[in-house]
Amino acid sequence: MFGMLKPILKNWFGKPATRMYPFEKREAFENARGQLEIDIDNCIFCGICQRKCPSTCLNVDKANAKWELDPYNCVICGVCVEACPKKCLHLNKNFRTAAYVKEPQASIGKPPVVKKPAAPEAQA
Amino acid sequence: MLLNQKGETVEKQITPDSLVAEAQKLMDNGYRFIIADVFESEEGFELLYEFGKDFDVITLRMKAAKGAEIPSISPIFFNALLIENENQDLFGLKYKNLVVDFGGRLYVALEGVEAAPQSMAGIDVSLVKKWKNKADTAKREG
Amino acid sequence: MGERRTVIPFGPQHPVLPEPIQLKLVIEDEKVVEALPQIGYVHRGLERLVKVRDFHQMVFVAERICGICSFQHAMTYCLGIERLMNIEVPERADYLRVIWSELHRVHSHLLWLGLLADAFGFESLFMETWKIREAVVDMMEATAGSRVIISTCQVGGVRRDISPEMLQAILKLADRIEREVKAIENSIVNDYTVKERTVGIGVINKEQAWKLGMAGPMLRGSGVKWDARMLGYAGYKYLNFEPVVETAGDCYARTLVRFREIFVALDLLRQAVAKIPQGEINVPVKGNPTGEVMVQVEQPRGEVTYTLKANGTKNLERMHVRTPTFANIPAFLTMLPGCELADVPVLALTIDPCISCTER
Repeated sequence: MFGMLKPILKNWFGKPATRMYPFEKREAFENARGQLEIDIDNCIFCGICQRKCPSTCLNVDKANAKWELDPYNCVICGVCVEACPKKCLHLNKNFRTAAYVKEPQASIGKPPVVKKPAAPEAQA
Repeated sequence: MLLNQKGETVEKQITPDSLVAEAQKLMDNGYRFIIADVFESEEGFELLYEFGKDFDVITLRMKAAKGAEIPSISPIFFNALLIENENQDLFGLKYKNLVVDFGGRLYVALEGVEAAPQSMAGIDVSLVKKWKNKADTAKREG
Repeated sequence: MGERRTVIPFGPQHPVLPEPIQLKLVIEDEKVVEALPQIGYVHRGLERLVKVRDFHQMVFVAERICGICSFQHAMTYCLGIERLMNIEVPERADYLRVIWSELHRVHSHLLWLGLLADAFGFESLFMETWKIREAVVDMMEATAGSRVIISTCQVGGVRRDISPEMLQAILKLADRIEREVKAIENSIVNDYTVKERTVGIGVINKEQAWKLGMAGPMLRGSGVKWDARMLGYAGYKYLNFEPVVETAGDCYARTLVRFREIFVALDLLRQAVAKIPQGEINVPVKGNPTGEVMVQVEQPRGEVTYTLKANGTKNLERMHVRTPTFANIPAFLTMLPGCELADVPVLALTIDPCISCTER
């Protein structure tokens, strides 16, 4: 019957198990997956991330050089980060906080430089 | 051919008529019912029943035409009732002799359907209804 | 008296139920005479997503079937695809899969223990177990990047490696959890309150348990020595373990099974960390799967079965998941008639219900 007494006494006189959250924040782990970010200047708008994404939260518009992310649809799996040929996507450590409005985040970059015609010829 | 981690399962082609007899035989041999799967194609349904005992898995495979009535194995293996009701919901299959027949409303919430008047909260179970009526009459009579 | 029967709806919102299921209980005085489940509050149709997502993307969908045993769902799916495509997973990946699976088992059992304590009003035990669980969840974040849905499994291996320092940290964590769980052992195993609420309630004997197709700790609590880990999938073929079996078949036996499984899981973690080899963690996957496969994997709640049918395109033709709770609900329905109304919450919890799993 008194089996619980020891842990209870320990809890009474010990440190609290919780943190005073908004004032005291735990440091994120090194490997933590937070929010998806893009280095838009390096993006070539190939659209591989859009095709690989399991939650269809990415939308790449090559014509307008627009890379759009719906952060509230994103499941933070990191598949796009691994798939990106230019390594311009990365996950930061800070988790996404609550928001009043769920809005997609659009990044507009420079349209890819048109020196592409060389590539198909080389393949053919 | 149904593979599993140990290689292949033992497979047996059956017809809807022999299903109950086969299931009874497996029950007598100490097998348990694991799951039934439905593969839908344009010609009809292909049903797989998997039974297990230790590391052995036996698969009964049968074909059923669309709209045909399939005998339920839930009187033999009680735990088949949930999957068979689910298949009624998801594929429109029809089972006869189901232990508890949700009538294709296992997953459909009450708000979504116009519940038949004789059903209680979307479930057409005469047994519960009977109890309910009894309780109602008892209440009315004081 | 005696003839008066009432129908009481239990759930979908109920203090002990973490997830929505409605039970219609036909009550005679205080005794339950009949029970009927009504599910469908969280049916998401995830199985049908195979038509629009390719088989690599489906790993993440499979993972989201359950929020607690997420890694094992992804692993089961991957094992199925790997069996179809005859992919040999690197040995290190097998071990990493065991490590994450067992971390999931520890945190799931601790979570369940807390919920059970909460169900019969033992709040301090509830807080203790959840406090211990927090360390496991933190370890998952440190190794995989997320707390619960860790997204580390992929077809052909795993996506992240665990560094040697983190492996040592896992060993330390295992020791710490063992110490802390031992400290509360007495208040679960020998406690008067716990025994009063669980001993002799919802008894299912060995033969019945097998015939009802029960899964996991429920089955082992009734004395059947069956654990899908004995099949030797992933890294379990390299490790030694003995399934925990209790013979009483009541709620107390099931509590004991889950409680002791925490120690078995910790032991498996230690073995895996000691034996883990160096090497690759995944192999490249080319082509598309064909054929039909059924995979069985032991989750914290019991045995999960995936049936996959592939036709050589990048989308599977059918994915069918039978989760442990799906197998345990019929057993639950046979336990209910004859029990007291006050025992229904405890019975509902001993099946460790995960309704979102059940409905997919």
